[in-house]
Amino acid sequence: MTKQGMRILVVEDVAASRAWMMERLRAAYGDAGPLVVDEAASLARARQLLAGRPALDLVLLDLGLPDGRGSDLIPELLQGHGDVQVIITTIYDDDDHLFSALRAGARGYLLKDQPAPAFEAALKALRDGVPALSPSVARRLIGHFSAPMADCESADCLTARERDVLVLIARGLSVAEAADSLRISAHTVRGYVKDIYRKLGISSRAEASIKAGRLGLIRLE
Amino acid sequence: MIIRHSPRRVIAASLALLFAVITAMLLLRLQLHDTGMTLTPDPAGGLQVSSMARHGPNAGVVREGDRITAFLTPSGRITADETVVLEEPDVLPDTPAYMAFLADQQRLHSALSAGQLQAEMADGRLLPVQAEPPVWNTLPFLFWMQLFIGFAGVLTTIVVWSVARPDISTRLYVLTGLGVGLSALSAAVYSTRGLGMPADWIRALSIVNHLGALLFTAALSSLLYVYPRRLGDYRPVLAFCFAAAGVCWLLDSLQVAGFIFNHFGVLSIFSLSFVFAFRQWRQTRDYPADRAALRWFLMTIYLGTGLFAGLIIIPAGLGLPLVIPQSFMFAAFLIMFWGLSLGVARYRLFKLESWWRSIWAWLLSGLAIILLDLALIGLLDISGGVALSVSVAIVGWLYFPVRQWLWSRLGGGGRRRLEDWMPDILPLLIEEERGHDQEARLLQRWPQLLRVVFRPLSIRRGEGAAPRMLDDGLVLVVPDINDDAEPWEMHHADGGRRLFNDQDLVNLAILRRLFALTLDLCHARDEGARTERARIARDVHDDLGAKLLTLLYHVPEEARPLVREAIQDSRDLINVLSQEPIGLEAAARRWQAEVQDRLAVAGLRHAWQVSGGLKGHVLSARQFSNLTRVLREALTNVLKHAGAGTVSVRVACDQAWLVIGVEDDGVCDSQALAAGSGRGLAIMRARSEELGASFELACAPGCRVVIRLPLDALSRSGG
Repeated sequence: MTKQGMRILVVEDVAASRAWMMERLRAAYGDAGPLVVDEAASLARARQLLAGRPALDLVLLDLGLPDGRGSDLIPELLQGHGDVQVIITTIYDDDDHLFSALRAGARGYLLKDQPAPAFEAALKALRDGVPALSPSVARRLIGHFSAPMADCESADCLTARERDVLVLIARGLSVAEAADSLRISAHTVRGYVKDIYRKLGISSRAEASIKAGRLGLIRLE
Repeated sequence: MIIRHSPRRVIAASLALLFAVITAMLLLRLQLHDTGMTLTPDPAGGLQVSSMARHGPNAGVVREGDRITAFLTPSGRITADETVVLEEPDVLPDTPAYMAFLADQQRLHSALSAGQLQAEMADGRLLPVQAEPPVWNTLPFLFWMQLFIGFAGVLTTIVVWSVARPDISTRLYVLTGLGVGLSALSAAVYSTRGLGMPADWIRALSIVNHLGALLFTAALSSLLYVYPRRLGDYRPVLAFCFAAAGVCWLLDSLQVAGFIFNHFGVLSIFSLSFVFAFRQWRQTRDYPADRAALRWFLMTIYLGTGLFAGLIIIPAGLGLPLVIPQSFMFAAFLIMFWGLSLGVARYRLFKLESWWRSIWAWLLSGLAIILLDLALIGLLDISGGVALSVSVAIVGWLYFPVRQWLWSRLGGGGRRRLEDWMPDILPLLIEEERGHDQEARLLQRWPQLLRVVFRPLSIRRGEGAAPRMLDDGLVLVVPDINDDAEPWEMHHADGGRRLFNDQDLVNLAILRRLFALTLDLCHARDEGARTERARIARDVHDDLGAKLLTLLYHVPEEARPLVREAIQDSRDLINVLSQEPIGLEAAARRWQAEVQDRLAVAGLRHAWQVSGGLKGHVLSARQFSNLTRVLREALTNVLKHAGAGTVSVRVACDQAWLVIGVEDDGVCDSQALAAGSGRGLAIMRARSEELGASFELACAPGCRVVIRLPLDALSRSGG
């Protein structure tokens, strides 16, 4: 944050949502000096704006944009735009969206249907270094990391073969690629994937890679 | 290498051979002329005519109760005593006595065949004795009984051997059966000979009889050395037993010293079995299954052989008279073999299983047909005139069709080709089942498919490389569809009618490819449906979500919870349509998060309670969605009507049920409940019904909703 005030980019295609978030931003940061807020309704527009604005403090990024997934923009934002905080603002709360955005580098995840005061409070707290997470999102994350795993406390409850499959899937290999690599058939791999999901109490690839990291099977970057 | 054949073929071949031998024995016996007189030793000396055949050749000449003191033949006089009608010459004390016996028999036979035999009666009369060739149905009962015992003994052991793994123990077992068969079939002829018999025949049959006895004993003792446990390297022991038996048999056949070598050989080799049995008993100490098998094995063996040894061999060895005819005592062996057959079913003797009964069923029904055929031939034989035409009619209209049907059932239509089994497997491959995860369900049908195509007598998990054939085609080891899982082991193709062969490997390859193809199709369909659902959901969500958000920002504060709920619904749509099952624990966490959020926004307290083991239960996406909806509606209900302060939510698993309860401390409108109206209630009802769950709504005194879902409806997470 500089003396010129906060430089913020809001990437959001729904006008009403943009307006609502502008209000929330003003309510949260109005007292901290001038706000420089750019608005983009598409990824393309956002990229144009980014080209002319090398330094940013905060980006509120929607995931479902007309020309693509918002999370695709995250790597570009994190490269050469200073110490920018990317906060996802969305109505999706499924694990796939959540985990892939966080893995891509988002520092917060807020649901746009939250009551206004809660949304503002999360933005304010961001200044003090508190990560911006909607309560249900935070709980889901905590649930993933703190609650006992479905059936599995350690990698020991997976068979050697299941561990192999989990590692490959967590690295992003497709079932067919994993099957090739292990020299077994695709339906055999699919069977393992199902068993692994059940044992670990997960339901997506994104979760699989997090679990694999947590079980020490792969290194999370 | 021994060429292996299918069990049924082995049995059929053995049956053919047995019938040939039995026919030979029958023809031999029919050569011996009958006098129609039954002679028994009389305490007063000589032989008494204890019964007379009414239409026999001597009817009217000799009477029942007459006593014969001697027989006169052209080559000399023969004293009529018990030696003449001696059933088993083994009891004679020495070689001279035996030779004299043979000579007497020969003279009696020659004189009788030539019509030159005379009987010297106790009252001094001299009567000519006539004889005629017997008819098959006038042969004595004991003859048939011994044939049957020999037949059944051989067959019983052959059946076991045909289906068992090729192993030294089953080979020895079948030798015991052959031994008894040789003994009983040969004894059948000479022990029921009537009056006189060519000396060479008696000699030859006796030698065969002794061969059988020694073979049985050597095989039995050897068997106890290798079964149930191997007591050591069996080759020297077997070699010794069989060599000793061979030497004894040779010395006995040469008549070096009466029948001493036969009796001595049988008894001493047999006593070896006690030593082995004792060692077996000690060796099986730590193996309860083997011990149980051994116990049954010893009981039946020693009951059978003990009876025979105690009542026949030992008295014969000591030169004592036989209390019970030897012919009857062969039945003791049947006790043994049948006892062992029972043991096979009960203790898996020779590692066989209960399915081997199906072989027996096949065999016995086949024999029943043959016996019925014989009976009908007999019936036709004695009928005449009208009776004959009636018989023919019955046979033509009733018997033949039934027989044909039975045969076709027994035969089973022979080899099954691709076009035969294809129609049977298609339903298994393409049949739809309700619920998620078609692919997983299909995977479990692999052994079922194997069963349909190869119709093995048994199928179970095996080990080692696959596919491969074991025991010369008795067993086919087939890989599982999961490449890493243990393979399947199929025993006895087509219910034991044939062996596995190379064609089965070809069929297996076809079946595997077909199955893999179906799995891929199934997966592609699931995947396609999933992608399409997700796309639809996302479209709806993006459109609807944006509109709902806009709405959210514009409606007054009090309407916002409803809009938020709608947004949550659209989120769930994505989660549900992504169609992944979810663990019950994870599901409960999501419910808790939602309950907490909604009640917090409404300013209500909540009590969350989880009990019972949720771990390991898995909800399908559909089940999760439905339960979530019901829970959500229940909460909406509470928020709308109850005016409550605290809402308790309970998720519990007991033995058989998953129970989800929502209860508040507000005021319940029992009238509204009774009316059962309202969209929310209808939704809760419908969703519960779809789940197969019971749904209960009551005032107690706040509003209470309880959903109970049988745990059976949930799947278990993979171990």
